[in-house]
Amino acid sequence: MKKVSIYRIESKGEPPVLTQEQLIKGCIRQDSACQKAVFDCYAGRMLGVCMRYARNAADAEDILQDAFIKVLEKIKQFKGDGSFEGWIRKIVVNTALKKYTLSRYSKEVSDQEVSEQALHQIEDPMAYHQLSEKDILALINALPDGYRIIFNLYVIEGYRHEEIAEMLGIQSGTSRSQLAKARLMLQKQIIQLQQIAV
Amino acid sequence: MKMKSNFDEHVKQLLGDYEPEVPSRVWENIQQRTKRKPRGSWFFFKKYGWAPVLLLLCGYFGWQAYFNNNQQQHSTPSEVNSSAPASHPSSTSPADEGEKIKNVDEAESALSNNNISPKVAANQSALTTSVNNTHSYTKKSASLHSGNLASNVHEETMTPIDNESNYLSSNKNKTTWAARKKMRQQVGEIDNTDKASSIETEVNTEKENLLHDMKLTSPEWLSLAKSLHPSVKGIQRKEITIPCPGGGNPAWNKQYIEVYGGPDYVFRQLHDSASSSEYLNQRKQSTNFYYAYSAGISYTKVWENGLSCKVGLNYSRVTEKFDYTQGNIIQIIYVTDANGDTIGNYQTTSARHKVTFNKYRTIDVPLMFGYETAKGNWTFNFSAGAIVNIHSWTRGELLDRSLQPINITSGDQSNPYQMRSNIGLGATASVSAYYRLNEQLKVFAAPYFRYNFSSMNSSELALQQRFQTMGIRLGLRMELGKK
Repeated sequence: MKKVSIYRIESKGEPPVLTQEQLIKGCIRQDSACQKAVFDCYAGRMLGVCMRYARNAADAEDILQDAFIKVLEKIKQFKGDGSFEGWIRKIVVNTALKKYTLSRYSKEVSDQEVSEQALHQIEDPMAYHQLSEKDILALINALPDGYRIIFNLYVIEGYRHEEIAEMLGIQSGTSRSQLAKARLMLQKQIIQLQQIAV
Repeated sequence: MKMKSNFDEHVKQLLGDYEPEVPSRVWENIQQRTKRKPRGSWFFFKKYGWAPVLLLLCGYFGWQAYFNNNQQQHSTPSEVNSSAPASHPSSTSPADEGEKIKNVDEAESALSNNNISPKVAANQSALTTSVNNTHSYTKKSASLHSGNLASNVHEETMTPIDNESNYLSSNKNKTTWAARKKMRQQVGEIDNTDKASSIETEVNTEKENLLHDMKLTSPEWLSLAKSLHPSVKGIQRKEITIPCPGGGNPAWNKQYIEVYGGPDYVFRQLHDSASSSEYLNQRKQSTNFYYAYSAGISYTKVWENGLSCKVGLNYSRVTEKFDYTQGNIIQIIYVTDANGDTIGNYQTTSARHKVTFNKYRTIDVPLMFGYETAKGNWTFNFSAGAIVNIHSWTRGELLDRSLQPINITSGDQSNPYQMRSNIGLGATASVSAYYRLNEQLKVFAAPYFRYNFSSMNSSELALQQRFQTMGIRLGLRMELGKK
């Protein structure tokens, strides 16, 4: 069982160590120390996820906040059959998806006209290697909501197009084309960045 | 395509485990939003409102039963009450047997001498022939009682019209009731006497005739009454049911009010989910049970089958002693001269000992169901049920996680160590033994146990404290409806 150190008694004694199961039970009991421990454990990684889906840092914090409230409220529903982090991550992603609804991003996507030919134009395939994680994150954030969400779901979360289509209520073909468009936009932005740097 | 997968891999690698620093305001906002909303009066009513409603319902039905009982007693004619006090057949002592036989003989003669059968026939003819016929009948009632017979035999003369008017007046049931009661007493006495078996059949026949004669439901009487008085056309038939003398347990079909008080003993349960044995041990060592008691009032209803329901209001108080010793207190004492200048100092080491008596008080509504039975002067009741906390409050101090004393007196909402103002539901069971002092009063002793399902302190704390109570209630039980 994974051991998670939760909080230190400031005055005396050894810091108590709780198992994940105890931690979850504590959250169910609404023990604020256990809730804080869960937050401390997973908030960093989940904020990373939120930042990929959100347009900016403020939106990411909002998503994280909403998601963690859901986690704490629905923690009773966690059956323990998968990983706890995976369960939290799923809630975070769903919260983000709700924030940027399909109707919103589909409108934005239709405004972006990308030719099929352009999808295959790759001028400098190695340019992205010089970018840091913050740079890439900034580029992803600059994508329209629809592109960004599908790019995240496919490339980072590892969902298949069929799954994405089901999650977002779109055709799998739409998911594929939007992913391609997202890549193309990213490449263009990377090249632009490179040209500026040179 | 290869570039695509390389790019994807690169992005996944960079952002997959990306873990930026989380601003503290996020958790603060979450805390604020997840903070429990104050439980308003509606919540309290929704969760515990059924308890006072139940209490009110029980009170209403109790009052109704008491009222009905009184009404029945008041509707008994005074002459019957005064001359023939109620006497249960089973309570007659064997020494009265001889006198009873004599009474039965007299009853037999009283019934036969009064010629009830011819009288009934005359009455029937009076009803069917003419309303102006003032044919009278004489009814002689013989009220038999073991101690006073002769004086209770009296005559009563009524015309059918007078008699009917009596029925139609507010006292219309009295004559019927009195006649029935007298007959019942006669029959009851006769039934209980072996030597009266020869006349039993005859008396029963006479009883039936007389009852039919006096019954308000008799169609002849009703038609006659309606023809005489237009105002009574709307009269409805009404059966008066007179219960036969009960042969069940004397404890049954009664209602009581109980007042009690008594000492309790409390079993304290402490459970620390944070696995901090140090704190748990310190909490256990620093607080000890001192004393406890409870007092209250309850209403008990015992049905005809011996099942009982008990509902009431209970106050309980638990006092525990909190000992706190703080060692190694270092004091530096400065010595000054007349001008206030320090001329030296010395250091002392001491310990501080503090004793606080923590008080935990609760007001609860117990609702218990059980069975009651009696034997001689003793009555026993076995009950179990729920106990619903209405309100609880505390005063005192406890150790916090840093092993320092912290005030737990109710009222400071910001203090996480505060005990809950409602400890919720519990289960309770008791065995009560009652001893009869007189017709109305009993004293009782009732050992009981109370199990609380929830802890007393806030669920936010890792260390949960719970009290389970065992005690004995001593008190008085007063039967309702007895005068």
